[in-house]
Amino acid sequence: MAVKHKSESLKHEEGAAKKAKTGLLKLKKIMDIESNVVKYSICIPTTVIDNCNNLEQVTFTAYQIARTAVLFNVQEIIVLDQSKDKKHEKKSRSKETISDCLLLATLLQYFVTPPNLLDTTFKKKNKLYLKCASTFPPLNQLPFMNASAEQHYKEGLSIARDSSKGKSDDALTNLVYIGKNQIITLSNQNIPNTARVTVDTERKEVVSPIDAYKGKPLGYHVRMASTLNEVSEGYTKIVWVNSGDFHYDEELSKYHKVETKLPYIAKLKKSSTSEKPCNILLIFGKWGHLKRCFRRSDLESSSLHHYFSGQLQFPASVPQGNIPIQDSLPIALTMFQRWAS
Amino acid sequence: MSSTRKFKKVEKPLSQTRHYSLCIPTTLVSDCRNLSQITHKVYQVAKFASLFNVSEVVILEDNSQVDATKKKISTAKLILALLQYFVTPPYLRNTVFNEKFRPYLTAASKLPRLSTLPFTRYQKQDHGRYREGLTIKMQKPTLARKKIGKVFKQTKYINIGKSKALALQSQLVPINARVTIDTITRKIVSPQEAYGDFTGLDSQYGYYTRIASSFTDLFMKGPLKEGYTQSVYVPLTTRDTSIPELSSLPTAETNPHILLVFSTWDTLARAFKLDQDQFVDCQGPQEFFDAQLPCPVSNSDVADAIPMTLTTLSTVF
Repeated sequence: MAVKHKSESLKHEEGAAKKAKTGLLKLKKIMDIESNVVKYSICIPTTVIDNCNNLEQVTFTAYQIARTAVLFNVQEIIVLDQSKDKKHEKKSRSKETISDCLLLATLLQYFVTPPNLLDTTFKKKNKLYLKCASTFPPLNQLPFMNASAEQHYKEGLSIARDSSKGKSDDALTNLVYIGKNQIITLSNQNIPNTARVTVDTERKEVVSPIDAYKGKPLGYHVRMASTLNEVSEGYTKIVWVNSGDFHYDEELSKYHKVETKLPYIAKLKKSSTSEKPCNILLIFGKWGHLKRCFRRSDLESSSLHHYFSGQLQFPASVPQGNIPIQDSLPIALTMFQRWAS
Repeated sequence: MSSTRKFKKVEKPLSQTRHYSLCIPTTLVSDCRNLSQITHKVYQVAKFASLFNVSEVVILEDNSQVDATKKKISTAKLILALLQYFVTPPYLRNTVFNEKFRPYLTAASKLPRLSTLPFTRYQKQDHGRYREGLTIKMQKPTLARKKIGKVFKQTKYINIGKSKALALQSQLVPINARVTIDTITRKIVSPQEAYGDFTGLDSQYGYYTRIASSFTDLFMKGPLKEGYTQSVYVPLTTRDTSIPELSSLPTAETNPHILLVFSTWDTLARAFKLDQDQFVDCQGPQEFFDAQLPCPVSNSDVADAIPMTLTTLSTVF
């Protein structure tokens, strides 16, 4: 009988190996997340937009990632700069002068920026790259995207106090910019400069966005990283999702360790002992690129397969590796969502 | 297993004999502003359909939408053309899509091919033994000059995207059919035989597309004689319906064909109402569904719901 059954693997104990037809010993693992609440962060390599021919296609890719991330309430998107890890230099798209990494991060940030703060968040020279993005329907899951809803709560950016009254090194301010040259003066709060806050425009105070928007998704943070140690700071569970590798073949010797040393996650084990939510980081991308990235990173792990807690086995007919990164995202997140619920 | 095989086998037996049909309403593209946004949305559907080995995509026409006057073809037709475009081998695209469709395919032609289909892959694509082809008319050369050439209903010539049409060894086939050809023996083969060892799955050579212009067509005009084994409603609104939650799927041995309908309840109710005179004792569209399967996270977009639902179906059931 053909083996490598997903459902059967559930019955196996942790670490139990199963012989696959191809002769590879694949490990299975139940990941213990030691918590009841799971929060996701994702790491997207810049190679995701390698096969895009123009800005429009780049924008679509970013939009698809942003959409999925908001739907699943992803906490953070880390854009991993892999321009140094590629063997072949890519032909640059015409008219682009910023790096792929910055472009992707800019677009991702654009889709979760409230419309009233767009003009302050993005510099004029970067507006050029947002030309296509501005024609997209806004992500309606985010409560602050529609101005009509929740009228008296507004997203704002704290700005420095007027410096004309002499030099003020004050790191704190009570002014919040809420777009269109409107500035709110907080009644009795002082907050750090240039912070994104949610303000109650009636009572003139900063409120918690979770209370203001009643637990609706609030979008993600975007961060850029160039090495793996920058990526994984603060994460305990790191999972690799094999994607964007259109020539992946599990029988090739260069992938031998991937298949035999890195366990496939079969399910999640939850426990209610800890109040702290478990932060899971999903790293997408091609093994070869990540390996080169690992070599130039300063990490404690001895090899890349020790760096990861496990990898994901895609369901049914979805091929391992041979899938665009942005498409593997909803599949991976759905699998985790199902396991965690 | 012989080591000389050209394509490697990826054995994933779980869904080998479970077939899915997706039904998407034309509201899929209602929030798109231009052709390239429509194209990308349809591209996303096409990508997931081919990844999960979907065998059929049905487009449910929602007549309530007023088509913009500028458009020359209906939304349903546009989606159909785009869906079909993505599973057509690149070398047949000029034959399959005639001149008047070209303007609608400009954005689609710039997109990367679907990597999961055997015949759209780059590797040795033009030298492979098996090729997709389109059967073309044959005429008697002498009569053709007089322009009264007798047109045969059957043909032995196949357009395989090369300068010369391929003549079959000993078979005659109907014209205008999409076929898979073994270029060495010059015979028509089943896609399973040609690409079966590529993925180990039955229908991973693309999907069929059709338009259901009414609610009855959705269920009755399917390609299967016996109809769909099970129909599952994927709600895109939080409206309560009396459809029970999906608890189990038929086992793979029975070769089930599952219809997944992605829609808001309003769209379905509208479609049902137009056809109501055909169903005398029916209360509403809920009677046509065996179960419903809500998305793991609340969601109102068809293109987002497809990967979630298909992943759930193949991991949980």
